[in-house]
Amino acid sequence: MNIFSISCNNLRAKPLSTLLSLILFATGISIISLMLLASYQVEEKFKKNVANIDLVVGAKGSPLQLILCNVFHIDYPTGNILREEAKMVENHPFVDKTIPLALGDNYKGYRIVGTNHDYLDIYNAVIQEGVLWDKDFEVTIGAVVADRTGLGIGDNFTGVHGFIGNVGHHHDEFLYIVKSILKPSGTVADQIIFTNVASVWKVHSTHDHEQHAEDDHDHSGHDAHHGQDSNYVQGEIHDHDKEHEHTGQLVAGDDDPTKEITSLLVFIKNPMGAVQLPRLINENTNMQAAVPSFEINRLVSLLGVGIDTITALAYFIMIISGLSIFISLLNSLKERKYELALMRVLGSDRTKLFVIIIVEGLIIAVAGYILGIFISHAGMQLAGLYFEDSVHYSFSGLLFVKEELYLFIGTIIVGFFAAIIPAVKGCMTNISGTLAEA
Amino acid sequence: MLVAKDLEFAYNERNSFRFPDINCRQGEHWLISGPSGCGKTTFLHLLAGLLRPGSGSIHINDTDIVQLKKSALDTFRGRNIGIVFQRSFFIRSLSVRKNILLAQYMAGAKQDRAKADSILESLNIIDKATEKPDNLSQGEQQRLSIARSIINDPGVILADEPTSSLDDNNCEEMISLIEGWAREQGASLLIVTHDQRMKDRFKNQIIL
Repeated sequence: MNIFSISCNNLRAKPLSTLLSLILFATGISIISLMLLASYQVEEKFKKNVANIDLVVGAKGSPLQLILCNVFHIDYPTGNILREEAKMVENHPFVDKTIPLALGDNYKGYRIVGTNHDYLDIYNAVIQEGVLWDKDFEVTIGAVVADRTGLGIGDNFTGVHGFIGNVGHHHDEFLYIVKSILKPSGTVADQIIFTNVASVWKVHSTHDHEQHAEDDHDHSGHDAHHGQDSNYVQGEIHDHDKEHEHTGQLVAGDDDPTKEITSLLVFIKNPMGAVQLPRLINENTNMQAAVPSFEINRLVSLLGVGIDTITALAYFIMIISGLSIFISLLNSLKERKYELALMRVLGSDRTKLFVIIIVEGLIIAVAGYILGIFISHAGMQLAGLYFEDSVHYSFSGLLFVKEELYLFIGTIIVGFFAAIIPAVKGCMTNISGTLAEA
Repeated sequence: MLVAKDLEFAYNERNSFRFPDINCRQGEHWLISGPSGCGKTTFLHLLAGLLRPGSGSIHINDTDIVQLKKSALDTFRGRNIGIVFQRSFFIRSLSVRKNILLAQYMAGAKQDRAKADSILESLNIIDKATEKPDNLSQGEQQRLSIARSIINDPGVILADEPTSSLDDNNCEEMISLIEGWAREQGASLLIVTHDQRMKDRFKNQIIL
């Protein structure tokens, strides 16, 4: 017998009322916590993957799409750019370094990206075992790819057309071989299959060209599809199931001066270049330049409105639940005034009664907090599984953010203040009067 | 022992009482009787420290409880005064045994389950130890009230109309039990009642 057990007992005596307050509180907490977890993990991924990339240069279209595709490897390409034009950017005095990206195929949903070794330096990705890709059709796979596809060093595989696993044509003639696996880096590098640009060119080159010449009339519809992704989803409905010249899909034979790449990651020498170069590219060339951090910040601020609204709603729910605790405690006072008077008779002073009632409020609040946190983390873990399948980024329900600690402090405050008026009323019970009127 | 002097109490201007002095030596049994509205319950509540008199003193052993500060008075009452009320009051959500342990806890005494069980046994309600008080018969509830009032070995036992709602048999049993326990513990016993059946049992009487 102690204050805690007495308070617990009192709560158990009115189970439905207690349950309602608890569930309301847990609901508010779980929503707030989920928003905190989601926004923290999303922002963290944004930051990590944007890294020090100053600019992305690619085909004209939506700058956000350009970034999402070429930095985060989520969205589809906006088109291709010519190697020649890309060289202009490479040679510009403001530019420190560039990294080319050639996209087009995937293996079981994981992108095959043609690029050079500099890419790994962006994310400090290092080899776990094996040797980095070097010759054509040699690949290095990220840690998540290795884990999910079961590919190991020495394994062969063929890429599949497009960006969704197994929908398009299999490039059966070209076998990739795994030469190394990367250590987990916590970045997008984990979910990429790296090879050289030449391999991607070869896969989409000459033997398809004659076919394409014949099917030219079919492609007129495709040009209108720049930037759209409907082609990929509806791969099967094309009347020929051969390779197509899709947007973002590289075409070219060897030594073809119109060789294209999907994009260029650009690192700038001096800060002035960060302002001038994009304008130069956007206004004077067929390409567009987008600044990753700028586009992502814009996206975050757009999403932010939604997140803020939901969070405000959740705080509102918490206040309502505080009210529910308050009402429940106040109501129970009437029902148990004899019990309160009795406890005074037995020797309890006013303070003890006060504390008993306060503790009742705190127990509901804290239990609601624990339940809410459990729900939000379990929910995040489940959502994480879903996201891993769809965009390959991993979200964890096992991560805790420090704002959840502030949330706990808020919980204590709400529980305390919800109980304070009932507690004061309770401890002011007139013993004699109450007992006499029985 | 209990000594009350010059007690006065007023609920308001029109409702005020002046009580006779009491000098109850350790182990004595007193009956306080009078018609309705004469202030019997008020008197008992004053003696129990549940009300503060406008003036006067109440010495229980050597402590003037009128002078005690609020929380000290509560503790003193829990340890030294056992009270039996006309109506049974219990914590309904606690079991019979836990109601007894609660009395120990509230008085700041050690929670002695063996002692609680022994008293329940001697009052013949040990088999209901895990039941809720609502499941007890009226007689069993009375006995539980008595058990709770004596668990902390108080020097004074006060009873407010303990038999008024009982039939003759239960009345006899109730009074015998209370008197018996008071005698066994050497505690002073003061019973406030208008029940005429009590008149002839008590040597020491005050009529209000």
